[in-house]
Amino acid sequence: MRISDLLASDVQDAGGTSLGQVRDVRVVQDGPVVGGVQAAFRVDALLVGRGTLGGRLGYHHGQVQGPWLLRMLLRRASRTVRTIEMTQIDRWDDEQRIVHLR
Amino acid sequence: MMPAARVLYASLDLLDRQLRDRHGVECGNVDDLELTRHDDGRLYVTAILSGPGVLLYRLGRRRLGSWIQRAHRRTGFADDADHARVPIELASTISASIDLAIDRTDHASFAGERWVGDHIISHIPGNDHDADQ
Amino acid sequence: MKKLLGVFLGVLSAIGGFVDIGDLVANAETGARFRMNLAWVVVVGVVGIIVYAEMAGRVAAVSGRPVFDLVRERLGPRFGLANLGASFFINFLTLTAEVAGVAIAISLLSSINYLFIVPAAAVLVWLVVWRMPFETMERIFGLLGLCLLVFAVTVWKIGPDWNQLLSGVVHPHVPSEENPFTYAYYGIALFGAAMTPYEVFFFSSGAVEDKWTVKDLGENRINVLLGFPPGGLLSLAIMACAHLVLAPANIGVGTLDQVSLPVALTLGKVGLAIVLIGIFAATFGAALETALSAGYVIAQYLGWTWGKHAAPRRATRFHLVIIITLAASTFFALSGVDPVKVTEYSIVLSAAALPLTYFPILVVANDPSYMGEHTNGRWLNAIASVYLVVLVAVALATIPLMIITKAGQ
Repeated sequence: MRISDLLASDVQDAGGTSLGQVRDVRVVQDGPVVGGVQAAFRVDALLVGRGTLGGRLGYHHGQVQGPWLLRMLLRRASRTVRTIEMTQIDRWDDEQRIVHLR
Repeated sequence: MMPAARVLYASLDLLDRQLRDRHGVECGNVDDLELTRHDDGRLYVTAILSGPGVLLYRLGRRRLGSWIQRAHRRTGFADDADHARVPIELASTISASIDLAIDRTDHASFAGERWVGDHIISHIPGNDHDADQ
Repeated sequence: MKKLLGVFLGVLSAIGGFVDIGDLVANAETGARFRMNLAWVVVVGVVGIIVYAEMAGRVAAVSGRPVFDLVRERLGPRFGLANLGASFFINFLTLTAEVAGVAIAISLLSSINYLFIVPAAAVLVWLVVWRMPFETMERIFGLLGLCLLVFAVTVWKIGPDWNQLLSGVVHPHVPSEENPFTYAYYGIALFGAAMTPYEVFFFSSGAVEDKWTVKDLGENRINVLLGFPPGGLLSLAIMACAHLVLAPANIGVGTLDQVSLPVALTLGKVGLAIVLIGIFAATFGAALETALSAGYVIAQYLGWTWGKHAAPRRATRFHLVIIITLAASTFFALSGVDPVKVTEYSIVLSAAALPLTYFPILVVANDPSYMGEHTNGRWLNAIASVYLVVLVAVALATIPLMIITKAGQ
């Protein structure tokens, strides 16, 4: 399985309504240590919604703050993106590329 | 007290980052990431994927990308290993670029470099000296 | 003391290296047709390239990433690829124009037909990229480029009515025999000639390869702030020469020797020889940078090893791209295209494509995860944002204007 499959997946709630596409994947380095000295990278949450330029550039969940002009233009769209924790996911059909929520 | 675990975003912080080998030389970009489901039922990022065909797969040309990857595995290197796959444990620094504890000569993207070197560049005189000597 | 000398030489070669074939053609053509009424665009362009180059240099020094690396990473591989296609194509046009410029300068000095010299010029450029000590060559060509100061000497020798000269600069207007669309089109061309993208690709890649750090930022800023404005003044001197000599005589600029005509008429054979050496040096230096940029943009997008210092054996695909691009430029130049026309298209399209690379740099320059504490300050951001708006406006206006004015007729 690849992250590109996850990023191309549609997210549907229990009723089958589409909540949008997976736009980014939050990864936390707190898994059990495997083969080395680093903790494993656990997939923690999905950012779902409409794809936006601001999100891609780092104005939403990244750290970019300026310039003022771009922040004004690009930040508004961040309200359309929501975070889905992995615990809310029922299953991921990686053949059809659909993430089904509970 | 445990320090806070590092939080990253795949698309923002990992994908399309420049990869450097243990000597600091460029050896490709992060084209994709491998995900594995462990026994605890959770998904983990287990490897960095980079090399011919990988980006094509990600851009939607899945069959063509997979075909190129398979073809490259058979012809690019002498052994059977997947040189496009770098286990994530070998990523020593993740910042503006990602440093890998490998030699670029072991990486999938080097096959093309080696081919061009052997078949074209090495036939032109003066190819071995550094400029600015 | 030695460091000071190094900085001084660096600034001098930045001045001599500022002007390339695009500036020569754009400033001369504009001076001949519009007198000094577009001089303000040169000022705007010089400030713009100072802002852009400083940001790109700072990003390279602090994050260790050059421009096209960041283009793919910020815009994503799809948009990054479109961006790469456009940038590479425009760079190719520019390279053809610069190589042609080298060949024309040599042909004017030697009276050998320019078409015979084009392949030799391309091979010469390639040899320097392949083998020669790069820093030394850049210094030499940069300093030789100072011969172009003869344009300033020409203006002084003519002894113009300074009030009249400056009135066009300070109170620009569209001359009665021209229309506003052509005025705007030439303005865009001048702007694109001043804010050349390849300059920034080259500059930022060099900074990464030389492993600039935060400590080098000061020298970066000195080179940019002290080198670019005099370069801009040199451009204006070229414009003034055309305004003073060509415009009254109704001579247009269709070939490179018309650019140097004012110098020849005022300072005679010696002046002409000096200006041709200056043109040779300026275009040769620019050809080197553009040839390397062809390799940089492709190698950086694809993640290949690149570099101008390392032996070619260590960056094989990068050097192959440069060889192929130089060969293609040679064929294109030999196919009989008018080098001045190619230059015009390259600078106009450069202006239109500026947002593609400026925008990602501006964003990264504001990203603390890359820049630490060296993100853009508020004032710089304000100026940089204004320029972003200007660049987008220019980009949107270019193709329509090109169509309306039939590419500046």
